[in-house]
Amino acid sequence: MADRSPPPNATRPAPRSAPKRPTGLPILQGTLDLLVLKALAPGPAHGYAVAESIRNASDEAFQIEDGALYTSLKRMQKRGWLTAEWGVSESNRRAKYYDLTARGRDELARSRRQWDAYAAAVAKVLAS
Amino acid sequence: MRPILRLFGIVPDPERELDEEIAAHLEMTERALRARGLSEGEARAEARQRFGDVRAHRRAMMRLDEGRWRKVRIMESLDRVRTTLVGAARGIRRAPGFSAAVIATLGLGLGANAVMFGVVDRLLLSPPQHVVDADEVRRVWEVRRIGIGTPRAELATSDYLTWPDYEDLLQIDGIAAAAAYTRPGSEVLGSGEGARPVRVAWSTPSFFPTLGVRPALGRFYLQEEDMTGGPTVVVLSHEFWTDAFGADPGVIGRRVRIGASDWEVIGVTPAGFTGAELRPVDAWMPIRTAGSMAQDMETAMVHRNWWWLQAVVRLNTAVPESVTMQQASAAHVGGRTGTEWEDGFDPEARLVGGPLRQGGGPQPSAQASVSKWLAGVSLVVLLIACANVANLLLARGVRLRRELRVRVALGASRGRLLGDLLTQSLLLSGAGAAVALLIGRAGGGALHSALIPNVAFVDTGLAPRLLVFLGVATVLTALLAGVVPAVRASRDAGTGAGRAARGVTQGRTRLQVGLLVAQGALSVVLLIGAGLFVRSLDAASGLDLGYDVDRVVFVEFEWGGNYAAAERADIYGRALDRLRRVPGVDGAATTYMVPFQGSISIGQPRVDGGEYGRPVGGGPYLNKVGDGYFEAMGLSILQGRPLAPEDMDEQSPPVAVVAQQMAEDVWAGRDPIGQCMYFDDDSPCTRVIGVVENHRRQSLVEEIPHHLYYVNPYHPDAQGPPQALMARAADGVRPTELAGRVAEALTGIAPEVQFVEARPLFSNVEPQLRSWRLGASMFTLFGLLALVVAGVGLYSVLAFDVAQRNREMGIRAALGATRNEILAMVVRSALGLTAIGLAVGVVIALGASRFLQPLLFEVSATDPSVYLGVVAVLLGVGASAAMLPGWRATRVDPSEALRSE
Repeated sequence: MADRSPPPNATRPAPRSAPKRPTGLPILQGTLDLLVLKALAPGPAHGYAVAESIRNASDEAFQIEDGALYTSLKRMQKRGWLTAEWGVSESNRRAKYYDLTARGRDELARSRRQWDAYAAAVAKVLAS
Repeated sequence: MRPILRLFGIVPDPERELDEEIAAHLEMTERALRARGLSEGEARAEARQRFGDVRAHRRAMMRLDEGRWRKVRIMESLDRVRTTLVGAARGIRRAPGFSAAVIATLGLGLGANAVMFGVVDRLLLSPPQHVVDADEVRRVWEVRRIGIGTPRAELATSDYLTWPDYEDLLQIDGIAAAAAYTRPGSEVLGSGEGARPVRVAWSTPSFFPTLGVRPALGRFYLQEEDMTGGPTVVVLSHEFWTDAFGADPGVIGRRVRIGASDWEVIGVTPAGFTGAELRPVDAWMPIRTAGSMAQDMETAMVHRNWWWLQAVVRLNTAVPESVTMQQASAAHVGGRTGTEWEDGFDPEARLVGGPLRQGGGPQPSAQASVSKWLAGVSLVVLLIACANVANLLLARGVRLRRELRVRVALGASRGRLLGDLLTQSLLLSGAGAAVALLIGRAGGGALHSALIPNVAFVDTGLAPRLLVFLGVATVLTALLAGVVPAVRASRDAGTGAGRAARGVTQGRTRLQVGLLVAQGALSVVLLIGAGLFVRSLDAASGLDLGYDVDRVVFVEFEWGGNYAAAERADIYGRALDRLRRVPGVDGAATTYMVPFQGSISIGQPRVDGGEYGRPVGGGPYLNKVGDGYFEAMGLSILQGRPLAPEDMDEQSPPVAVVAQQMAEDVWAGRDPIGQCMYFDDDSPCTRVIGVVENHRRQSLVEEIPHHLYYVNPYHPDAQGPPQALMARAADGVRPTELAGRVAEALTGIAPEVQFVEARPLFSNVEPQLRSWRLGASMFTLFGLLALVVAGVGLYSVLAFDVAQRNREMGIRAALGATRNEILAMVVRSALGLTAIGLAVGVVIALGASRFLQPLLFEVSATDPSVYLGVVAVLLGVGASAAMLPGWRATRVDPSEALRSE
């Protein structure tokens, strides 16, 4: 009986380059989730597209690692705000497409209100 | 299976998907960056930079997926189990001979246990079916000294009680409910052609509620239906209802003829119900109604020396059982104090509660005790099978060494090899269990009907208890037989590489020798047990009962009504004439009592010039027989003459024939012929005219009783016409055959006779032989099984040994050893092993003999002839097992053996 070879590990080791000091604004986890939900509001998109959309919309103001963005996607998928499905990208590559669920849309509206209230409150305090 | 599921997207592989997703992201980022003019290297570095620490993010994401991961991991381990199983199955298929040997050996070993488990479960572990809260229910046993006043007074245990004893039980506080019942007796259902025997038991109406059983159909009888002259109502057993009435629900309310009366069927018991014991019962009748038709119920209800019923009670759990039984015992003795039954009754008699299990209680049946031994024996058979399989697996491990080494070289861990090897033995054991189930079903049925016919076994098919037992036994067997060989093989694969590579292996190991010796020793023990039981059965069935038990057929009539004594006597007279003319009948006579079917004990007669003490064997037992009885029974007249037709005339002087034991005890040293006996004060002298040889009354293991044959005038205890006919089979005629012929010839002798039953007298003795027959058959079967397994085991190890030592044999041959010398060498080593096994086995058997002795009959548990016989058999088997391998060893071609390296 032949032994099964160990399952192929697709992760290529990341090059251990010295981390560059990130430029841009650090971001809170809850805020990142809101940005991702917003990026998915127009319709299903894969992770790369979400990253690009946030990067473009914010004029690269935030310091977000793409990895953290994926973690956010997975986290919200687990919470049932997103669904994920394999599809084919513009460049004919297999990619996972994320889409908002009804609960995801509710969550987007809810955190958006919360964020607005928060921002307004902070602005009010600063303006006083 | 998993790839297919994954194809349908049912089982995703999250790890792989995640990696693919990350790779796709990096690729897209790189492409976008290159489109902006970065070089390939810069683009890759930037993409990674943007993503962050891939490993850390990946780990974070996987943590999120923990739940899904667990599921996948389970699927993966299932997958591994499957591959292991497939691999093991492949291994089994690749060695069909080896596998068949292992499966057959384990199948026989497990099968023996499956069969015995069924018996033990029924006899020793489980209460009768349909009894609710059986642990609160007790059968009542009486323990008292009997034969008080004789030199042979002894403590006796019995479950027979009198009716007043039963009524006493009802008054005890600690007894919540009590019932009396009788063991089933044979009656006849219907009449004429379609008549069939039916086993009828009587019980009080409280019987069913005491046990907690509910009717499957209709109802049980009520208190007010149980009385002298009460309504004739009957409850059928489910089995009899199915068998005789085709399970027709319309039978309720119908009147059926049982014996001489019509009985209304009012209910059916649930399937498998046998009352408080395990004897099959076809019909239940209210005890007083039925009893009043068969005996003097008025007397039976007050007489404290008519022991005719059994009692069962449900305890009141609020009262300690010891207190309850103490009170019951006090009432039992107290009820006799100051009455005519006090004399000779043990004032320390006690009542004891015994569980309903047949193997429980103060007097477990001999069958239950023998079954306990047989269960042990079947375990020993399984142990032998395990030892044998372990040896086969050891040998196989050596053969597999090269393959296993290759696997180790390819990176398989030792644990992995161990797991695979153990899986293989589990699979083999499981296949053995399947064989065992088949054996259990077939063998169980045969065992029940042939050897334990007096116990109602319920065919429950694949009983869950049996399956659990077999499952546990299978796993234990696999481990017992498989662990050591598997550990050895996997270890050798890791370490013994160098030696194995050259194909040089050591011969049999110490472990193999130990296993062989163990097998031999256990076979010896079983064979000795078999020998002892066979000799017991031999002694018991060859026991001189006095009469020729295997030559005689007895005939009883079932009367269709109450007919006058004269009428019956006339019919018996006609039947006797006809019986004497039946071909194959060599002498016939009428009788009042049939041996082993009850007897009448009368008071001691007064004798001239002597005291008639209490006979050790009881009695005198009275019988009233017709002309030719002693010749028909094969009883020799030792002195004087037998009863003659002229003695039977009512005008002739009363005469008697007595048994030798009685003559010796009563008229010691004097000539008994012509002595006088007086049965009461004003009766005339009854003169002894003959002495008949001693014979048994009702048991193979009883003291010789006083028998008294006395015809005229009729003793008040033996009034009325004869009750049975005896016929002697002529030389060369089989009694079973003759019984059929006789029944046919006498059927229709008179319209009053509803049913003629003719049976060989042996059938009355046979039940007493059952425990020895059970022991003899099963011990022999298991012993032979063990012998075959051990013999084959010895053979296979020797064969393997010779094959392994090919080179050595070649060298020996080359050095000038003759074929005879080589053969002798192999046989000698086989006999050496056998002798060690014999020695160990004999020691074990001697140690166990003390415990086996009570189950044997007139055979010492250390009987030398049995031991010597087993020694001879085993040496013979050992030598024969060595012949073929020895012959092969002589065939080794020296030059080839030396060159083959």
